[in-house]
Amino acid sequence: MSLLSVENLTVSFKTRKGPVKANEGIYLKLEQGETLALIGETGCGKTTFGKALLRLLSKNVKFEGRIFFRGQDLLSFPEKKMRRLRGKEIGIMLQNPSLALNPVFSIGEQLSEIYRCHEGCEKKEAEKKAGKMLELVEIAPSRMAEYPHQFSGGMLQRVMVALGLALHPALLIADEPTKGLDPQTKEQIARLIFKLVSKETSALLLITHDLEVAKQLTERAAVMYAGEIVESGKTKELFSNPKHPYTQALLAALPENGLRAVPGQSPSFVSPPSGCRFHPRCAFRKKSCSQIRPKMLELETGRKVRCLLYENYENFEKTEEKANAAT
Amino acid sequence: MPLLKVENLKKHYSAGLFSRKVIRAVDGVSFELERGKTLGLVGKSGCGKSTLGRTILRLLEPTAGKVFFEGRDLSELKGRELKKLGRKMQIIFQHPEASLNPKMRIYDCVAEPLRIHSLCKQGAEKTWVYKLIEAVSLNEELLFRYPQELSGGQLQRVMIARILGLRPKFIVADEPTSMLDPLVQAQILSLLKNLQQEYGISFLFISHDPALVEWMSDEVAVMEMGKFVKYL
Repeated sequence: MSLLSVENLTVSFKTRKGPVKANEGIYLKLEQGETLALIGETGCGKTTFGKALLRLLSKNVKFEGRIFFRGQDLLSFPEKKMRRLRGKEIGIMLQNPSLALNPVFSIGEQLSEIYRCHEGCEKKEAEKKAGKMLELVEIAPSRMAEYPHQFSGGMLQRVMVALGLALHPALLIADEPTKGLDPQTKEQIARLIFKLVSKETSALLLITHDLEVAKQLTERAAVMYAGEIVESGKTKELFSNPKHPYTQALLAALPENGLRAVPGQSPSFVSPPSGCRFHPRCAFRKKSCSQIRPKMLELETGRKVRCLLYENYENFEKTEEKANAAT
Repeated sequence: MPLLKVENLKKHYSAGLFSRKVIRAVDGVSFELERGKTLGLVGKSGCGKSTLGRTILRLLEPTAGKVFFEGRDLSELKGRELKKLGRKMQIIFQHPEASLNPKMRIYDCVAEPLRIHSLCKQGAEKTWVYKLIEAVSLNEELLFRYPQELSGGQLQRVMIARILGLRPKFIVADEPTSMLDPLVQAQILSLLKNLQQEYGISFLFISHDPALVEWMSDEVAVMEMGKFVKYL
């Protein structure tokens, strides 16, 4: 049994302009202790997915499909049961720590609150545990009485790591943990997350647009575009041999690969393009791309891509085999 | 004559009201910048890159040193003269979300600098704004939305359109893409490069990513503790 198994998940929001499908038809599996990166542009639905796993979305949300965590369907849980699970079984590091933390409570108060709510600890005991957790993320416990504005961006991110891992969850969701940090701090935070996650043997779902960090931290990766997963596979393979035109474009836009930009902007969720969602920006589009919605194809075990270019891949191999057999 | 000449520029802060300690954010920086060229500036966070950019534009008053723009000493200029010259020197900030007025529509954000400097006649404003918004390849329908309805990449384009209307000669780009994802980053940077070629604008490009600086710049300076430690 997998730790987390998402089956055909669709997350939509009711709005005045009509339903907005932020995630559509998502299948994802995560085993115990496995690390997975979810990569994509801003506004492609990565964060929505991370929050959907914990049902942390606004009230106008509608879920379809299933989210299994240790075999139990999270979408059928009552709110009370869900509250107990958040933090304890699945921890989350929200993006933008300076906004995620409460400015009028000290770091120590915010961290020890977790122990008081979940484990029913006394104030002193909770503070002790919070201090230990801070030490783990390399912040002096003497700074517990300080407030978020007194910390630098990198240190706040460390606090977020501590909050996410406070109750030793089996799965940690890290949402853009390195956004807006300078390279050295980025490196430090990435190394810290890696160290603690492997020490706790937690699984990691890393949501990021930073491909460097994804490469460094994860074994597997999935690429998201306009609410769909368009490609998945082992992180190394995905980067060395990208299959989907969008992944290729994403890699070509990196400074070390020449900063080649893709024209156009990501599509709106209210009226997404027909057929393949990437086709208006795709350099390899065919006529059929605007009509047929491509399915997820498995090229090899664990290597999937959603693109019409590979639709005949299997058939192609088979005909090749036949041809070989004939000769 | 170089477009911009910076001589031994310093900006010091006192460490607190009662403290005698001095923080040397920028400590004696000199360089020259030709027309249509880009100087890349790399350094760790907190090394004084942004302070340098702002002090050159006189958004901060320098403690010592001089800045010459088109041969004129900026520190001697006042009032109307400074405004006239200041129009030609602009800045793109790191956080576009924080640099636009949330109560103004995009149209007004782009038109505001034109109004302040009275650069176009009444009635011509609309055509100007549409031209500018086209130059940064933004969709016209965005003009009547508010900044918080736009994505980071779109906002950064609005910032560029806004500045472009002033026909600047020199732009300080202070980490313009650090909050953006790689695809949008590539789009914004190529936009800046195209505009540079078209209008012959000089840039001071500040970033903490050496690869970006290398791609953007003709010359590179490395900053540490308020000083240039390398100048290539």
